[in-house]
Amino acid sequence: MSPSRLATVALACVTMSVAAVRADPPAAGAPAGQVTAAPELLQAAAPEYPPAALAAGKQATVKVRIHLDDAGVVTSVDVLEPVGDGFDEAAVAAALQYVFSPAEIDGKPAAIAVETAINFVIEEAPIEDPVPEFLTRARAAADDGPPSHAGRMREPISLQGEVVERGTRSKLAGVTVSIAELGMDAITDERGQFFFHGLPPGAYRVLAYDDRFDRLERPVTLAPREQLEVRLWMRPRGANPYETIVEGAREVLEVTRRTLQRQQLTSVPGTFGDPIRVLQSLPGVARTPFGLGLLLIRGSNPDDTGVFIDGHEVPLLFHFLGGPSILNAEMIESIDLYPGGFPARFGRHHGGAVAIETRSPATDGVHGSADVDFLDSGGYLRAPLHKDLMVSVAGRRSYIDVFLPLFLPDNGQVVVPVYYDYQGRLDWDRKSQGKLSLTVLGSADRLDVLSDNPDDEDSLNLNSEIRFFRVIGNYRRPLTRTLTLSLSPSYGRDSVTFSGGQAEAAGPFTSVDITQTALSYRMRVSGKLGSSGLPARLVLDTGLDLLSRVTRYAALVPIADDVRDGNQIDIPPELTLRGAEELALGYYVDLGVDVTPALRVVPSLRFDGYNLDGNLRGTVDPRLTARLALGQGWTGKAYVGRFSQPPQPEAFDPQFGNPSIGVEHGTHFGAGAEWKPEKLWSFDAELYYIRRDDVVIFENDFVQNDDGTFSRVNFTNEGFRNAYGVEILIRREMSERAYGWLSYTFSKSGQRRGDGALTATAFDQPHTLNAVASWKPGGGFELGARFRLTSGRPETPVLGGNFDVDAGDYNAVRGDVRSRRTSTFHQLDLRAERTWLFNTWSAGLYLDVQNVYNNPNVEATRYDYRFRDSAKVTSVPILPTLGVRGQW
Amino acid sequence: MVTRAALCCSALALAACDPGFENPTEVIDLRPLAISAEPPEQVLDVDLTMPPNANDLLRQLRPVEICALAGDPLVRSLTSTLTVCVEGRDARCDASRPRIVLASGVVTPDPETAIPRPQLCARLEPDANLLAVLLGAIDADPLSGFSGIDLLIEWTLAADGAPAVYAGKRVRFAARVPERRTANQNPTVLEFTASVSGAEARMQPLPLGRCVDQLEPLTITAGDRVTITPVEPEGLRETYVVPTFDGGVREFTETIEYQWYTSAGTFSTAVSGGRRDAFGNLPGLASAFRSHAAKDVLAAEDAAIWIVQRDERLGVAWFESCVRVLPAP
Repeated sequence: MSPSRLATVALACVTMSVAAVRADPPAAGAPAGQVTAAPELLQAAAPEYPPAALAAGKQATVKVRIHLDDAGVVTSVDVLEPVGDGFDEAAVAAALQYVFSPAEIDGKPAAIAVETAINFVIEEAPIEDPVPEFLTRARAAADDGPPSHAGRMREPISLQGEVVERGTRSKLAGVTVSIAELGMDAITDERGQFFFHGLPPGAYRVLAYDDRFDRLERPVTLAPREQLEVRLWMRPRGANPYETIVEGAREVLEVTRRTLQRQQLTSVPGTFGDPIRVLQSLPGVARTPFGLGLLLIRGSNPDDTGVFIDGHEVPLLFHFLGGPSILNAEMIESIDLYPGGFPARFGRHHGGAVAIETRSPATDGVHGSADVDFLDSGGYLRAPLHKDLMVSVAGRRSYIDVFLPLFLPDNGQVVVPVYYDYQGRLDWDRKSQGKLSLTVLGSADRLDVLSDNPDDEDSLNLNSEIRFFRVIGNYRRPLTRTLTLSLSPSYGRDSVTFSGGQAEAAGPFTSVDITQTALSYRMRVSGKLGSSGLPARLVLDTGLDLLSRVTRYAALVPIADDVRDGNQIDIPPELTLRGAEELALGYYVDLGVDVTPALRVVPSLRFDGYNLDGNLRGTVDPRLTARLALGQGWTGKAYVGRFSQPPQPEAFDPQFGNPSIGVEHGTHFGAGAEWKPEKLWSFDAELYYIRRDDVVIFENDFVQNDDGTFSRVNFTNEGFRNAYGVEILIRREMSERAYGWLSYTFSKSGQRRGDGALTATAFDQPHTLNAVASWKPGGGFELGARFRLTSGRPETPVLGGNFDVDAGDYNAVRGDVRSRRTSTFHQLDLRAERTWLFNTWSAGLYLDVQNVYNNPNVEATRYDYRFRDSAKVTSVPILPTLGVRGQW
Repeated sequence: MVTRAALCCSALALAACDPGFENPTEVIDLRPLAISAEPPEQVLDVDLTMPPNANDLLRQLRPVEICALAGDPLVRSLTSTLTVCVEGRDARCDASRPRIVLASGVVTPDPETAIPRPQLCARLEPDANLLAVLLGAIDADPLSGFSGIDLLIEWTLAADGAPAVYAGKRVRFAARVPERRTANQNPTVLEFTASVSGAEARMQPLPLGRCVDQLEPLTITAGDRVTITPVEPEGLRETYVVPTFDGGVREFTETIEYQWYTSAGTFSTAVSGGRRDAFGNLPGLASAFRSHAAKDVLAAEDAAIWIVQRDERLGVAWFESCVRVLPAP
């Protein structure tokens, strides 16, 4: 072999991932089927390096979309991002010669499009002279095995190995592995493995290519009759190891769904790596005061928005006092925010819906992660118990209660949150028999009084705690070739406890214990309806939704509930036991109809029947949504629908509530447009109007009964609320180096009682601007920024105070209800993270700084005892948080 | 349910911040401190199931003596108005309903003492005017007088050139339901004891009366602490009954609370006594007076003390005292 002569080699690296497979023809906005078999590249052709570019030493990567017909034959090739210099033409010419296995959509061969990148790299490779006969044979031989095998299959394996991702040890499929000297290529299979047959002894360079990873080169020396096994560790290109791209091709049965991928969103500044917190930076979601974990969607109250985990409602998404979400990021598969016009499968709420799917653990060995910062620590572990049985567990515990006392001033006293959460999931893949999963999750929050005086701490122990847990089972199996059946029971228990008692007392003096036991069951059939004989393509999502909820109240309170103005009366605490039972049965159907290839209309219907402590209620909620592909990446969308929400349990309690209370109703109207000029960029704008009728409000009034006694009214359905606005989202999807979005929401929300005047709601926020950007400059660094600018909170002005002699304190004299606002909120959060990749694990160090320029954002106004002096209550000051995390 | 509980917890935690407002126990400018009504409540024999009978009401109503007390560090003229009315928003008179102006005028410095008591007294006569206000209040009451009708005594007080300040107090007119219902009496005390801690620790009865009226007020040295404890007479805390909405009767025993003010210094607690707190702790009756810091007391100064006593049924009484504070040696 003479090393004196060098030649250039054009290397084509063809990789595919699920992300790159799309149904074809992909009419913009048209629904896609379920890809049941992805096309496999059976034969790649090396592109011809453009001579002028080669002479100039230019290299390039050409991203192409390859259109295949239902036989896997390439019909056309589009260049997604032209680079010029003849590279585009060369890439198209090469891609036209590729051979693929047929793709299947919904089990049938179908046309499809594949997106990939062809890399033009100038390599200085020694040219062997002359070419040995065995090499001629090897090159000439069309591989007679699968793509993961190179060379003649009947020859013994000389070199084999697997390609894994550095830091996570995930097996990588679709990676091209080449032996440069022989011009032999293999493409790793789903287990990341590759095989070369019949290699002669010698020294070689093994090259691995994939557009998601840095190119890898590894020298190997093969002795005669030796069988060599190697493991190739590939470094993610510009990404950190906590991220993998998963983009499912789900059926679209709603107008607006904003999806967050866990992997994309662990690096948004100000969120401490919590992907669920990123929800609060999306359009339609108002900022919550003090960073509290509330979901204020389109002017609705927090209770109006349902949070569903694996289809079942949970009471909390965040720990309180601005704590993190109750789910470890690693447990999350996806987060969908439906700000309005949501599908009928989400019922019993008229605000918005948040649907979180937990992640099925993969079978690729034992993996885990740990995360430690100043506030809490968390961990995650997943492992296969058997070939088809996987388990994952996660948990988190705060420890601010441990550290804060060290910084308490003399006689200092502070209330601190203490929280923990846990999750576990067991998956059993029974192949053709379906998939079973069991998920357990829960959280607990309590408030502790910290004091440097132990006596104080005891006598003021609040014993306040909020906890919940859920057990969710799921069985999913194909019903037909295109329909899937899902059965999912769930059991849950929520509890809220407050109590106060003296340190030496045998029991509490006052206490409130509220427990809610929920049993729910969902049956869902979803998928496409067979096309034969049907005039249009149909997508069905239908099911039953049963909920039984029992709420128990045990209150030990020293007040007489039936004495007017009795709050000064000294009576011993009395134990009050109350209960409310709610049974709800819902049936829903969403039917997607492709009227034309460009127009999908989804009529929906939901029936709900309620038994509220023996009082029957029923609702029928029709909804209609439509999406129209307008071409050039434009899609129009519109919806109208009715949504219903039962009253809270205390509202229909016979004593403290009103048994005749009815169901609240909301009507959503919306229209908008989406524009996706290219793969990375998207634009979304939507106008909406929501009116909420029959809203339950508290009424401090009395009615006289026939026997002369009086009853409190307590609650009525005489409330009304509305909201209207516009949302705009400009989003750059995640790429190797950057992602981000700019969202703006204009929203006005009002409320009134009966025929009264319309006033702003407590959470009205006309202007909300969020800008999020993250950039990876290389070297394992990632830098991010988030800027928020929102209107101040509505406030009722206090004009002065009147001294109430009988009570001994002042009553505020208030102006018009919510007629002014606190000052405009603005805050910049920054985040820097450095990741170190090792072969079997990775480590990250991050600094997340909230409110970088320490803006004193006003959240509320406090007044002195006679309402003459006031002080602004400000939000979180500058808050740096340093954390480390590791993953293996 | 859980969402709202979380919100409450968060608000509770956030409310723990201290913004550093002025101490409410020190009267640093014109403030209404108390209004008393004698009697504070009248129980009438009327049939609630029948429309109110004017003559019957007039026959049973008794006059009410009303006095209002303010604290003002300055000696100046005060404009003052006492009005009886139906209560509207913010403990102020409902302007759309009948009202009676009981007294109105200017309190000027008394040439005899040069230091007038900022106080205004008036008498509410049981006449047609009162009847009109009472009927207006019954009309406004969603319970039609079932648990009693409260009329508001609104006191407007203003120093020259300063915005007016307002105080309100209620007097109650209740039907004798249940039959053994009795009218509330204003509370009182036997005396107050003063326990002085510091260089010259001692305990003694607290002399009552204004500073200008006392020849030998309690004298302490700046920095001393005076714990003042009310001594209550036997039977002060009345037992009483009220009707419940479901036609029943409940019996309670009053609690008594004390509100503490001074013109120079602070009290350890603004309100003592009263009902148990949420943890079951029974609040003590005493409050400790502390003068201004020793470094700020350069010459003897008199600190006026006002103690307002309240039961939970609109009964109010007040007591005045004085502590002379000498500079520390």
